[in-house]
Amino acid sequence: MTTKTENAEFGIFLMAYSPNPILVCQADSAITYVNPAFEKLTGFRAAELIGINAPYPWWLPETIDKTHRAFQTAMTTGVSRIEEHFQKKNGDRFWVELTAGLIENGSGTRYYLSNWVDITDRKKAADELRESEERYRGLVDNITTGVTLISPDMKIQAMNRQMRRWYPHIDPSEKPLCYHAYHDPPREDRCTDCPAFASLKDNEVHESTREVSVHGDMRFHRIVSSPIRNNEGRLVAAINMIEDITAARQTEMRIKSLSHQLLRAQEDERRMISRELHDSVAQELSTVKIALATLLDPHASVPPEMLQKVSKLTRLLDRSILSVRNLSYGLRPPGLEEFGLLQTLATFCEEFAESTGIEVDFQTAGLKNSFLGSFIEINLYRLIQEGLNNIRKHAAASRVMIKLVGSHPNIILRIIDDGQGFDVKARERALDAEKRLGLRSMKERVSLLQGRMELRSRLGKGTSIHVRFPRQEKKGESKK
Amino acid sequence: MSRKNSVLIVDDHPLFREGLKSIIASSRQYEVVGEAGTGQEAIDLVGQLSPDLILLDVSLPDGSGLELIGDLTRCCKKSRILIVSMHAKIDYIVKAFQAGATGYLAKGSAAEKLLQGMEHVLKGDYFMDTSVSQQVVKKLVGLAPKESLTTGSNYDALTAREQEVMVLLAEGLSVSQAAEKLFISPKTIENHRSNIMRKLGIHKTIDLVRTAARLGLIDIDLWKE
Repeated sequence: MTTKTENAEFGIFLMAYSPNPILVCQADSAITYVNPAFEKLTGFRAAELIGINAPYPWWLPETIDKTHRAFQTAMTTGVSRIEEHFQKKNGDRFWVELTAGLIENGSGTRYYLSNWVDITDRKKAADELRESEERYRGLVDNITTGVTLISPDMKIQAMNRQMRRWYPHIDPSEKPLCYHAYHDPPREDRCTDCPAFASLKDNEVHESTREVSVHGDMRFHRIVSSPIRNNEGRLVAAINMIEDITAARQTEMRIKSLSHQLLRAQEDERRMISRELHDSVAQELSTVKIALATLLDPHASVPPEMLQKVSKLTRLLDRSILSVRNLSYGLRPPGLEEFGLLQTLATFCEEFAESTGIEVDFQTAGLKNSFLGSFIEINLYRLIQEGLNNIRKHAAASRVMIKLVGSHPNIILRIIDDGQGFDVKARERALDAEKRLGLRSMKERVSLLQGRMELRSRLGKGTSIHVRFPRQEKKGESKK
Repeated sequence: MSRKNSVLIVDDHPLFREGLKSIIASSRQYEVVGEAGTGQEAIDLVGQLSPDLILLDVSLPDGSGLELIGDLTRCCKKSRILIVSMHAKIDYIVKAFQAGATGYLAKGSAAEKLLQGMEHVLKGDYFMDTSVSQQVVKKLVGLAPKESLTTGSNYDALTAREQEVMVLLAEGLSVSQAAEKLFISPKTIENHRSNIMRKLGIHKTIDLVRTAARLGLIDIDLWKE
């Protein structure tokens, strides 16, 4: 018995010096012992606690029932390692990891021993981590960019909310899919040309794609795909960020189609006005002129003042007819429909040379007997007209060389002058500021022809304009 | 007194036709036998009336008067055609004479020159009024030194594929590179190349580059040559 008592005393001694808070109570929950570490953590003195029954004062009022039930279960079965949230005497809250067990003394009395480990700091850190993770997830879930994480074996590891919204038919947990397989029904094969695949080979990929969505509408996406490495620098995943640029792309296309329509409408209008001037106004003026000439009976004697007046009116009519006709020709290239583009251009160049004194050498090859379509023809005519007008206004050139060549599948136009040249970059900046036409409208036309325009110039060395565009309008973006 | 010359007026403006008639009425030599406002009417009337002279407008509601010239002369070989047109551009004048008209008068000059023009054309002469003839002479004078439309090569004889191949070779691509670019075999490219050289009448690759540069197919600083 002595040994037993000694052992019991040693046990009490150990408990008193244990760094962990320890509580002992009887089966009826009356507290029989708390150690100094317990007093220190909770702020309650042993004297206040000995003999009291559950519910204990460190239990939280809001969870008191749950705690009570757990306590009763523990009293019958014992528990190991549960986490509990309690409060100190002063109201501060703390977390403990609680291990409890039933012990029996020699006389058969059962005690309940509860050993606590203060885990408040650990818990706080974990909470903070979780919160920051939640914030981060919230961020990723609430952006309008689709984000997907793809594993090295090309399986989707995670998708954010946007991605799930775009591809509701994809269940990442079931199907091994990479971005390019986001079809409906999903493709089972693994493509080797998709951004994720490239990123898993350690490449950063930027690309734009066009696809038909599950709902059948055309979507445009910009994709950025990057490799992700762990702390040791090993490649562990690819992250795909997908941005929906459909609205921007559609606006872009709408603007393009609008300016296309605008130029067409402008040409139609010009043609209409030109025809009206030429075929109605000028005709009628000519009719009036004839009427005037035949008004007076040549055999009757007419007062000289009258004759003078008539001849004055006739001269006025001549001038009107001439200016109406020139106006009409200026609005619409005369003869484009009747004689074709090349003939009309050659005549235009000759007339330009004659009226400006600038020598124009117009050469063409590979376009004989070919009708390019009225849209291309009128725009080519306008390009050359605008090019020559720019040269007349700004270049101080004495010679211009125009080369128009069919080079299947393209048409190439070069306008080269020997004038004073200019600083291209400075000029472009000035153009933006001035909002003047000229070069700008040439660029616009070239873009409508789906071509490229290149401008080269050096001070004192002349200017060269190089235009290249497809002979046929590309499919899908044809005229309306 | 000799027989009056019969005249048919083809113009879609009734008032202008009236004007022409009033000028013609001032001369005793002519008689307006018919008027037409469209090309079809003109063809019908020429068949019926076989006029000595047709005054023809170039712009008609049912097509170009220029194209009508041939039809009209076929209908009645003896009819002479004097164009009376609002157009005074060289291209129209040339086309009109090529098609078989023998006179060209701008409408603006009709009041002064119509009778003179009719007289000349009926005599079998060619007639142009001064506002028109000025341009024609200028064109004739200017024509000799200029070679506006021709580049002196047979580039136009190349097929679309040959054009495609030529520019690639001129840009400096090798046969195999060009083949890869056009998805055809190097042998086919070789064939195209020899056809191009034959058609252009050249024997060396450098000449192919030179021709391409001269045509404007490839970029070179042209004024530096």
